[in-house]
Amino acid sequence: MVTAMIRLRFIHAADLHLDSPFKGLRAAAPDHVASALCDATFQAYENIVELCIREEVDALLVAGDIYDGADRSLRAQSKFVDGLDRLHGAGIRSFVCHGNHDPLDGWEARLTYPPGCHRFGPDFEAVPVFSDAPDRAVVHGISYPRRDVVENLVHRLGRADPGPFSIGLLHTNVGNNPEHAPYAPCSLDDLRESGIDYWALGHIHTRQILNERDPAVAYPGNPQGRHFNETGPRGVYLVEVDDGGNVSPQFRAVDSVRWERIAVAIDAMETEQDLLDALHERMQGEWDDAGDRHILVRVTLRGRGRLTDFLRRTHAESDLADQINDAWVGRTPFLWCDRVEDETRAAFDRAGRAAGSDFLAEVLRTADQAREDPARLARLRDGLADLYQHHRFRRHLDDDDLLALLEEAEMMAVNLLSEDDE
Amino acid sequence: MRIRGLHVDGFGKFADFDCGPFEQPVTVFLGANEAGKSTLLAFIRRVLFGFPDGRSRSNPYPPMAGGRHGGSVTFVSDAGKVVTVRRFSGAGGGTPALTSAAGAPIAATELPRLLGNHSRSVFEQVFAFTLDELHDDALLRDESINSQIYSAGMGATKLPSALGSLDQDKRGLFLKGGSKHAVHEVAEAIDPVDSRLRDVRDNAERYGDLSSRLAQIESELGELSEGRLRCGSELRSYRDLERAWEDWNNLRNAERRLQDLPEIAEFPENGVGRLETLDERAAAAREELDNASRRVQSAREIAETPIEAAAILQESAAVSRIQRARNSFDQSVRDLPQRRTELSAMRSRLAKTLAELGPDWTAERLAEFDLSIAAREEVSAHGDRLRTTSEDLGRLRSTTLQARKALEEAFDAVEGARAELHAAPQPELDADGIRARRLSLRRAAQTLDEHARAADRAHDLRNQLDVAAQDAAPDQARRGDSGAVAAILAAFGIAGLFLIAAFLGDWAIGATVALPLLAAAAFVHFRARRPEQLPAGDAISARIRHQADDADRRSNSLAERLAALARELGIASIDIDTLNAETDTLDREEARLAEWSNRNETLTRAETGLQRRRKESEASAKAVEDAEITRKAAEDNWRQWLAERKLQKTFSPRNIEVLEGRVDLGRNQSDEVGKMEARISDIQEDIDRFIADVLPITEALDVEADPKDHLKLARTADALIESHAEAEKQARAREAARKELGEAEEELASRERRLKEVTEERAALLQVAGVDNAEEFRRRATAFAEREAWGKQLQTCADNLRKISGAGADFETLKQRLATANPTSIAEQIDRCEAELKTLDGTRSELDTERGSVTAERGRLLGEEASSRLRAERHRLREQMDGHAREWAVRTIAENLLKEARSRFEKERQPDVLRHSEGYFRDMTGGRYQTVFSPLGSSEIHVTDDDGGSRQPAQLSRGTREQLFLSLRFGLVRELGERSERLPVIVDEALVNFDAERGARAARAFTELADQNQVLVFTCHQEIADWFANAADESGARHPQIISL
Repeated sequence: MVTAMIRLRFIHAADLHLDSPFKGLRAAAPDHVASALCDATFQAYENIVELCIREEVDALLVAGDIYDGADRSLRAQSKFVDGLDRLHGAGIRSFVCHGNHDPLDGWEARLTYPPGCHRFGPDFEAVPVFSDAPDRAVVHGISYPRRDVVENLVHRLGRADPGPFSIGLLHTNVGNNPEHAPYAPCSLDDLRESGIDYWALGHIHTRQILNERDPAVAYPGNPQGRHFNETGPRGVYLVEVDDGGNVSPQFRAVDSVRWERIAVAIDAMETEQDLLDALHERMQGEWDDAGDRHILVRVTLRGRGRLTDFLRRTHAESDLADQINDAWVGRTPFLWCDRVEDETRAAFDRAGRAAGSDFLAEVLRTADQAREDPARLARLRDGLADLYQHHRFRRHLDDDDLLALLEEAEMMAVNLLSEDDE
Repeated sequence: MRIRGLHVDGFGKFADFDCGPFEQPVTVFLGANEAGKSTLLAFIRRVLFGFPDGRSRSNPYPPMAGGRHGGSVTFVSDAGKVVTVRRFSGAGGGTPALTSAAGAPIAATELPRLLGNHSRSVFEQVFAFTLDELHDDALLRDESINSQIYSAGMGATKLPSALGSLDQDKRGLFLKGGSKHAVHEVAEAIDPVDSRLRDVRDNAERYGDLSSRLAQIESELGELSEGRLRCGSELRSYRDLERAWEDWNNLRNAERRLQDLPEIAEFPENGVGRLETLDERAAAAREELDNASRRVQSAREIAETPIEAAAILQESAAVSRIQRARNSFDQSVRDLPQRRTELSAMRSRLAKTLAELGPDWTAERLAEFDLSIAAREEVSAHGDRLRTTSEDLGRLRSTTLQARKALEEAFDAVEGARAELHAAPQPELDADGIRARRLSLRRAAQTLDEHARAADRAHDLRNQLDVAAQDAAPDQARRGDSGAVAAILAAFGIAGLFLIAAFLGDWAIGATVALPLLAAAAFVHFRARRPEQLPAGDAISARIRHQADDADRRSNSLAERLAALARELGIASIDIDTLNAETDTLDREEARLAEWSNRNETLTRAETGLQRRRKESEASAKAVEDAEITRKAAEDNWRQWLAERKLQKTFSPRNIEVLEGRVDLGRNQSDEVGKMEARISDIQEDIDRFIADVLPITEALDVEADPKDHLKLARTADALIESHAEAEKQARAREAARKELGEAEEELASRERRLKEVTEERAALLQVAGVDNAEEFRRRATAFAEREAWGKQLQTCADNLRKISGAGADFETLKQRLATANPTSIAEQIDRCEAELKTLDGTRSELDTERGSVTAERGRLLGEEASSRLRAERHRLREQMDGHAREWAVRTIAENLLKEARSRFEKERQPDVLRHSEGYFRDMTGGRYQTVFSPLGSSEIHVTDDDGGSRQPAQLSRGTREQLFLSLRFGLVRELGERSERLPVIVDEALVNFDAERGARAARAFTELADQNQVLVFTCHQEIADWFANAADESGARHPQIISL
């Protein structure tokens, strides 16, 4: 069998968000946990640099959102340049473009980037990966001149030179995914017609390969999850290109703190001890799977069983989280449970109860009318104005927010009305 | 639900008190004050809903008349189920025990359902109330009761607590204008974080300022460096002039002195020193020449001296041998006679040993005899074989004797066992037969027992049928009879107690007699009270009759099975005695079989042992024969071995071992004799050789020697050795002197040559300087050295100046500058340049310091971690605030939902409750009041009179207000009754404040209500009892049951 020669090896990273804080945590973490969380994005970046050096890649490509310019974190920019310095010292080039969180007109510390690093400007540039062999590979990149770029930047590229292997470095929302901010939107067809061989994209925090080849289009996701919607392994793509121009991206996890959501079904549990045993067993599994990474866990209790009433009466979620943390947060690496959520539900035939004639039916009908009648929904919003219009808080509630609150309120009312006499 | 009766075990004034049955829709309990009406109302409340705990301020009604605190209430549910609730005071209000009419237990958890799931407070406020409670408007004031009433049919008994809980939660989360709620606390915590974060964010601006200042400092430092370079260069040039000034003066002086000295083209280098050295070397050469002449003369004298006894030097080899053998010759001469004596003794010991071995033993035979280890082991093996075979033969012969004896004993044992077996009786059944028969007997006993129980059950059921057939009159009579019997027994018991105590003075004996009688009386009495619990009626009789028939059929079936079993067992019939006798017989037969089996087994074991002993005896005899053959073969082999070695046939292996010892001894003695003979021969040989060396020399030197006088010969040999040593010493001295003479003559010639060379070299030196004597040579040398010194100074100064200026044009430039300069002007220029440099250095130092601090601060700002932690903390707090806000919003919406639903529900449902109340109130007041209503959104009750005036309860007279509250309760009772169990309405003096007209109207309302809900009225007024009787008459309802207390 003839093995193709490797023409190019590089790391494709994006959305480092250095020094940006974790979100969604309410509980105050122990000192060592808080410290690890503050350093997590830096540690993930450090892991990327180590990976580049260990794998002896030719280049590191970073597709925007390296830091949050609005935070004005000197530390973020300084650490980033430190890493690039290390790569330069190891003979590894780096290519960086800026995205909506770190646009060119944003605040920037006056730091000296190493000669081996190329930062792309507000227009597409084509830069050879190897200065002594410009025909081997070229990176085409562009940075956001300002935060709110809604233009399709791919159109500015034109058609890439078909000679060298070409890489596109861009921060964009392909397909204008409505779950993400619509910055520099473009379509997959735009990318296909660009003549680029590998699109190294950033902006979407969940890794995905949108197109396998001709061209390969990939989001590596962010290298460090920052909230409970960014669970599981996070990292970068190690991309190998052979002489035939075939691309093989391999995912490499570099996160230092892993976020995990754990759902535990209580249906078959007889006692609180059963629940604790199950929780500890799941924690052990997560701990084993994460290797040498720290873990943040949020537990959701689901199902219906003997423990449903116990949980509803005692509101033991906080105690359960404490018991998990007592056993796990002291370990190395640590496992920290920020919250246990009780989503266990008593069996409830809503449609049947709403068709009844008792007070509960009246409550359910009242909720239904609020859902269907914009005027009633508006009254509900008005009822929250004391807090939501308060100068110390002030949040906008759209209809979806209100409907979600209404759903929760309805369930709370049902639970309160159907609680036991004890 | 209708209460049928009460049994008070102990409660207030009542003990072991029964009341009921209550068979009419309305029951009036008529009794004077203190008769216990309120006590019974409280009793019903507590048995149904529990006793108050110790902390309650309500009357506990302790059992003052005895009995256990509590009792039972029997009622019939709306579904027709008869249930008795029994409860006694205890923890948690006492645990209720529920039983059905048949006495079967019912789960206590059923009680709430049987009570319509109404709470205690609803029951006490709506269904079972006293006059005081009726008068009090607690029904409307109490929020929980009020809500219970409004939501009683709404399926939302938790509405008030739900609203309270939501309100409490909301206040804890957020309260507009408040400062002790969670949102405010989090906001307060965010403020300092935000403040610190702003400070930290200012660091970014600070970093920019520092970067600008750093660039400015770098620029200023660059300009400073250029100025300093220029000034430094100027300073260095003036310092060069200053340093060059002394060399410049010296150079000018040397040039002038050289012009004054004469020219000397050439002179030997270090000429004076070299001349003095040559003079010293010539003197030394002359002294060495004299020493060499003296050495030649001394050596020649020694070499020519003659050697004494030179002839002995020709015999040096022989003298050397004599000298080496000299000591051993003396030793040999002393040893020879002693060794010959020892040889004679050895020969005597050998001869003795040979004589002990036998006449045919010689030294040669001793040497030939085989004493090897193999031969000795061969003898040992023969010995072992002979010994082993003898021992085996003896042991086997002994074994044969024992086996023969054991065979005889085994034969006797078989005979004995056979006699024992013949003496034992033969069993009739084997083990299987006994097992089968025992199984049949067990089955028969079981069947007999079942038959007896079936017959008893049939008999009991028939008796129940007879009892059930009797009607109430005989039952009452029996109860009376039983009461009489109980009274007689009790009387006998008490009388017996007193009589025995009186006559015998012993209360213990009296109690022993009386207590059984009293117990019997109690039993008869309570048994007489039980008929109510027996099944009655046609359906029950039919069921019992059916069961009795079944029992008869089963009895007959079992009888038939017994007959079959009797046939199987071979007996006429089966009864308990027969079965016992058969079982005994079977036990005896089983014992017989066991004994016979044991003896038979013993015989079998003895016969098996006999056969084994017989085989053992035969095997033992055969083994003896084999051992004798083996023994014979071993003896033949041994004799063969002796014959081969020509030894006596009677020798045993042990004899041979002794013989071998002797042979070994004789062989050692023979070896010693041989060795001693060889040694004597060697000594004699040494003596002869010494004499042979000495005699030729003495003859050659003509010295007298006697070869037979060994002592004298030894002294002659010593003299020869000494003379030879002296001659050799003299010869060596002559040889050394000859060698010394040659070397001394060569040295003499060498010294002469050296002196000539030095003389020639001195003459050449003078010739080079161009003089012919040493005096002139030294004068010219002085002049040449002075000229050399000034020339060197000139060169040194020039070199120093070149070091300062450099070579070529720069050197000439320097000389020109020096030629036009003076020390004063140079010093002034240096001072000026140094001052300027100092100023520049001061400025640079300040800028360097500032650059260091700016760089350090930039580094600190780049490395600060506070902003990371602050942002994380801010996120966490805002997340907390969002969480609190969300919880508050959910609760606010939930509260709105509940309130809106309640408002709408009250609007639609309330008229049903109040409409019923309104009707009752209108009827009770004879139309004086027309409507009863509750304004929406309030918990108030309003009434309007026939003039349209609206009043609240507080504005009504006491009687009218009580009628309003009674009407409201009636409305609630009807409303609640449509959705749940209809509980009885129990009132204690509720009508006492009513006038006759309104009292009669109220009684009619009660009577009407009694169609659905049982009514129990406690009163001490006959008039009120009459109102109820009249109301029944007027409405055609059943007459109230009047129970006097």
